[in-house]
Amino acid sequence: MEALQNLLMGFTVALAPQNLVFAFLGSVLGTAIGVLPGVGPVAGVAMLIPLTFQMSPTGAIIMLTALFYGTQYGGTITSILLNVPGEAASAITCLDGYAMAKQGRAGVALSIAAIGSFIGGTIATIALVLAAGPLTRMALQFGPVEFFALIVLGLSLLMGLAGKSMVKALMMGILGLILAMVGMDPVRGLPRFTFGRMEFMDGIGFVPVIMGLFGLAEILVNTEEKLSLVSVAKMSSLIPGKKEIGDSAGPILRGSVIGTALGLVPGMTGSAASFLSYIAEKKVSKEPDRFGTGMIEGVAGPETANNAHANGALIPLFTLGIPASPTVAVIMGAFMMHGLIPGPFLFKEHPDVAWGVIASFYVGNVILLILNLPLIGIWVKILKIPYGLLFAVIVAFMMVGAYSVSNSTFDILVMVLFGVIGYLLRKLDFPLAPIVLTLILGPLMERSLRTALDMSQGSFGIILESPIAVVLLSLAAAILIAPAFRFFRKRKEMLSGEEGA
Amino acid sequence: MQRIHQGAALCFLAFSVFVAWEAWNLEYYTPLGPGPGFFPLWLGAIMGGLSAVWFVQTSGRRGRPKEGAFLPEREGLVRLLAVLGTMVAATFLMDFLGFQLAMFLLLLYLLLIPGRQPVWLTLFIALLGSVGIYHLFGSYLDVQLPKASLAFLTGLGL
Amino acid sequence: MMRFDGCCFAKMLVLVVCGLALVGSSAAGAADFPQKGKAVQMLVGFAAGGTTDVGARLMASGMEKELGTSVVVVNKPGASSQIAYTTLAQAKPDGYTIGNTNFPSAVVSYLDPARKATYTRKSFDLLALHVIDPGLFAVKADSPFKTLKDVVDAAKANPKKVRISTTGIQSDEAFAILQFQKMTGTQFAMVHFAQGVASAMTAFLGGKIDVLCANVGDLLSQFKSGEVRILGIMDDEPSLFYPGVKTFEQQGYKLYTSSSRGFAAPAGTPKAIVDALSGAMKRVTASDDHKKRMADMGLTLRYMDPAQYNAYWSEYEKTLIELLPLTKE
Repeated sequence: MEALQNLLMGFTVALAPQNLVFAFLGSVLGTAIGVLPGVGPVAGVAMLIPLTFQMSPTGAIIMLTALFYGTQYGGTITSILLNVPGEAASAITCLDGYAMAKQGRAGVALSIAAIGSFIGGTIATIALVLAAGPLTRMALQFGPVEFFALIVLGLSLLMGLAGKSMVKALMMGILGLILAMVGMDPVRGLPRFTFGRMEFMDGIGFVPVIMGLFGLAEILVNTEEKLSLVSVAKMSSLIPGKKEIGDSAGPILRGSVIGTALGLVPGMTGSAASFLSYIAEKKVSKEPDRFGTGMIEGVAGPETANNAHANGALIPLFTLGIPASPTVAVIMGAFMMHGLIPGPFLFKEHPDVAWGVIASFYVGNVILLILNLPLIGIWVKILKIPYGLLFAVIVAFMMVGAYSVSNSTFDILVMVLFGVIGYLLRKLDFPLAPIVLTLILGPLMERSLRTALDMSQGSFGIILESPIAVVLLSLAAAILIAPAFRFFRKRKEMLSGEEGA
Repeated sequence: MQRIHQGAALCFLAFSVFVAWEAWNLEYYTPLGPGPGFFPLWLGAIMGGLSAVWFVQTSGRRGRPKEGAFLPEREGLVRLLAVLGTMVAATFLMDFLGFQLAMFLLLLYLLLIPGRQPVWLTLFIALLGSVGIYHLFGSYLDVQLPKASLAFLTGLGL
Repeated sequence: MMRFDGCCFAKMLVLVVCGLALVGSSAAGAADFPQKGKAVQMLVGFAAGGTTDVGARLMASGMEKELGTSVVVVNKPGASSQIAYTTLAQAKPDGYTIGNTNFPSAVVSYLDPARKATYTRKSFDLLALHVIDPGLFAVKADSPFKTLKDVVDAAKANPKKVRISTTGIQSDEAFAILQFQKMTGTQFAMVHFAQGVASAMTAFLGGKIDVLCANVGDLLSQFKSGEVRILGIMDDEPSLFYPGVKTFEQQGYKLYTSSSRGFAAPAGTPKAIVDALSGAMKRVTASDDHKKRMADMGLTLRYMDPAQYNAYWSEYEKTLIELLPLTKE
């Protein structure tokens, strides 16, 4: 009850006219920055901090947090329309979102993404108000050992991404893991597969790679034909029908839970949340084979999950004073620049700021929904631009995006290289989703295993001491073994069937 | 088509040998657990195994891939390579000519030749995409796009 | 023979003239540094938004007022700042490109042969030390460890059993612990959280780690809420952020380690320009506004002029040369 009272007090702060304006400004800027590939939420928030020096602390933080979760709305737009992920967390939306755009359902995909984002953000904020304490205690159970087990579970889901050929899906998964090995190794700090390039020391940049594999590869496929003949997508309805809304309800709810939960675990990124939600949807779906051909579930789940993650990642900031993701670290910096230290103490010292900011999350999500739904009509008009013009603009757009990740032309070349690789892999009928999954989780796997073994000074027994890790790893083992069982049973049936005939 | 798939499988096999070979030179195990070479070695080995399986699959009659041209016809291939070449060239030129000039030339080429857009529209978009983007990113997004390193161009403010 | 000499003479003449011209131009450049409208670029080896970046941006905005020209922060993240250091070392030494230099990354990168750095200490002309973020040991409020001595005793009784966190094998925490081990004859179970201090802190608050080794700026909230007890700070004076907490030195351990941040120009920058830049930095760090902003961020301001910074760098380099082989064991 007390929480609700406090929240009401927070709303009086968040709904004050000047704070509404700040939430609106943050939402608009966030959407815009989300649309630009390369410039992500971290850079966006950091850029804006100096501008907020003159503002009241509450107003400043309302604006910066709105910008942060606003980018998750914006990142979707280019993924769906152009197959170019605006943010890393929206990469997976390319698979079904772009397929939907090709069928003329871009408006539907964008609407569902916006609605899902709204619900995900709101549910995560409700969790923050009602259950922050217990959720935080749960999150604290996740040490390096449990984190490692969680990553292994995530990697085992790779099998769930296999389409027609298990071998091809596995090859792509391993390829992603090999790419994840590039850089300074976490054990000795030696450069590994860097070909003497300093730029590879921190690993291959995720954003240039996915922009190449998805966006550029798509353009290369299209240039095979006369560009004036290429039509990217048809356009029909903007508003989702009853069936589409019904199909999205489950994914949105599951995405909210997955996103909020992963938001609590430091080190888990929004892209991991959206990806795991995609796989979860594929697993529970009755038609898993149709994923990748424009299933609304493949847009609704991930787009909800990445927003729930953005808001969920703010929970440990308020309860423990720990920034669970790089962007939240920047927001923490913003708090401190205004002389506030985020953490449990904030609720006692500055309840108006703490609750005002939390209430503003609801307000901001409503603003973003109202802002984004009418914009969809404008966004889809992009698809009316003749392709001969559009493709050149996309190329320029991606080059600027790749450059701005770390202000280096090297990343543009990486993007071009992976564009060619993506093009060839598509021609050879390889699925691309497994590479993205392992590229997200791969770097975390080796590092978290190493951290876990540091704790036990090399003994694997430490994994068995953690009940959570044992459960997660057993789950992973079951997921890995189940398809093999099914395969053998099928074969047996086939053989016995042949004998009978 | 089958030949191409077999060739690709061999490429993957060669790649996995390379990965495993590189990993071989790294420490395999340390007192505190897997060393730098542990995962790459296994990944290389598994990749090799999978490539071999795929090679066998595509070589067999059942796994034969669907027929169809792998590469586009000549005209399309030329266009594709031209687009790629322009991107690479513009990237290298960026460090000398600066972002604005390199991007202007890239857009000029892409819009006029493969894109077949009218000249006035090309010039407008190319200016917007080079000079416009440069100033937008520089002043509002804090991203300093490359400046020209050739003295006479720097003098022109590029 | 004559022709050869003539050619040689001509070459020398050209060289001399060029040299004079160079001297002339650099002297002129130094006199009117900085030119109006010509921006100074400040390279930062971390992505925008980190504490290094924030500190650098505060410094840049202060310098703009002092120098009367714009000072632009350019983020060149990657390879633990090595990309930024390389760019800085190769930049034209005209004062219009300066950069951030962090300990330990700036020193480790050229000391560790595996990193294949193309620069050494001699590639930089130091301008000023700006911030130090001293290391500290902390335990949870319910921990049996009350003082540093308790930690040392426990580590002596159970070698390699007391778990202590770092943020990476070549992080300042790792070097601090190695030094502490050497000093006390103990051995800890060092747990490297390469994902950063947030992961280390979660594991620590969840009870998976016995001692958190972190920096002064990391624990402001947890100290305030009483969740953690700080056992000691690795500085020669107590921290203004943690009143009542003793330093390592006060408890008999002469350990002074921090992750520190300063600024440098490429080697060969004319003395007058170096003085102009470092003078501007000195004035910025002396201003009340800057002091307040740094304190709000939990950053410990510590200005050193080029000479002091040079001495500090040499001393630090010597320590790392001793410790670096230990990280490879």
